[in-house]
Amino acid sequence: MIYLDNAATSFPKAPGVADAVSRFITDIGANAGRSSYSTARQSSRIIYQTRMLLAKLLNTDNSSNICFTMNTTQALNIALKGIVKPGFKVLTSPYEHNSVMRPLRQLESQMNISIDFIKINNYEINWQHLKKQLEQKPDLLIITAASNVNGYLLPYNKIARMAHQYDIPVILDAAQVLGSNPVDAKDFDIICFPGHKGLLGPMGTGGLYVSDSISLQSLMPGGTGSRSSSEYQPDDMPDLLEGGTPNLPGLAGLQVSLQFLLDTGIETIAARKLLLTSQFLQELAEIEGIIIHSPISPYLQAGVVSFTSLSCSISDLAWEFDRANIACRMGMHCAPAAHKHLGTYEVGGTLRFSPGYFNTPADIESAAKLLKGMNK
Amino acid sequence: MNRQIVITFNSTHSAMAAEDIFKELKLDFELIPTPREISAECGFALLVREMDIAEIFLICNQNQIKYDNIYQIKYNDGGKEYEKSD
Repeated sequence: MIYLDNAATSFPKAPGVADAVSRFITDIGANAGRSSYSTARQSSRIIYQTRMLLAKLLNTDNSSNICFTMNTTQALNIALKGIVKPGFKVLTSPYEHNSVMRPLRQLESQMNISIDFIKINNYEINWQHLKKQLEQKPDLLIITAASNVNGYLLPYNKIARMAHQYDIPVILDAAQVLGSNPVDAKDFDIICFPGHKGLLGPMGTGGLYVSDSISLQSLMPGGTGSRSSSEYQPDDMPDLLEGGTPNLPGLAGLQVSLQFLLDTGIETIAARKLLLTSQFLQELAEIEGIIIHSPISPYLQAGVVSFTSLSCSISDLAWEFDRANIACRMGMHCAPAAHKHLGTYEVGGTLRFSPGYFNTPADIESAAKLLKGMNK
Repeated sequence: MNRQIVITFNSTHSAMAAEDIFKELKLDFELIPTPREISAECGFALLVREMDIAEIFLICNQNQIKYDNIYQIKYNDGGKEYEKSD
């Protein structure tokens, strides 16, 4: 199979990940943070070392403020539901995934919050308008770093800096960028991320970084192995947000993938992804009847290409790719807000290709060749 | 048997961070089940051998180790006591 659906989850994983997961289950298997026998110690050290590698990636000394979750969705729910209060004014982007929009819509109906959107036209932020929006003092800004629909890389550092000038806390959804674009913990109040996408680790891993300026409530209080004589959730991070047994096999895999990323260098990974993305965009531009819904400039790209065709429905195209054993994703990509913004909602979405570090130019060539044949 | 110190922590992460630093400093230490005489809070604590309590405080503070409490073990009449240090 040619796998071009890395925006959904990366495949293959980094070398050694599967072995680490298997080794944990076969040879270690103990719970972490509860006991001092040898395998329990090994488990505790896996979590600790994985957290330290993430701290390195996020450029922070504050490793205890990184908490593990199942995925980005859980991290975003912890962040939003921990911060938002009744009547809050929340500013966001028109490119948000449902992992942001659904919690926001739920809070809108439950807590009567208002949601406003940053204006973006042709991948240009309307900075004047954003300034006016920030002057109205929203209580929170939450933005995706890059669109999972079309790879548009938002100027997330600049937006966050501007929001901070008005003392507005910023949550970053780093689902599509962590592992290939720099994200610095100092620039954000909360960063939510998956372990299974750009970090090349197993599914069921993710997390959030929470700066000292933010105090969150636990959405899932439970056993932590610490402060065990109390019936109340400890205030100490990371335990505050980590009730219950974590996905230790997954974190053992994530430890290996993070080491691979840091050894390889995220610039190298980004360069490979952008090379393949540019190659695919170039091939698409040569095919008559293909409408590209992604930014073309590599400076605006996180490595996701979306398009529709004038001659075929996207479902027919997706079917042909299935039959050719090429993995891509058709439809709404769990981001109806982004498709409404792009004007692709009414046609049922787009066909999306997202190359990863382990793809080759030949993979892209195969996908483009098939598409050229279908659009003759 | 003398000069034994037990350190308790607020989280496993803090205990692991301390362990890393103690390893680097080549201290004689081990992870032990937290003595029930001093705390029922956490599953484990660090036992450090052949160190003065003042040295341990200094190391913890210099390395920003987030500990809960530090205890000196005192042996008497065949038993032992954990003396909490402030």
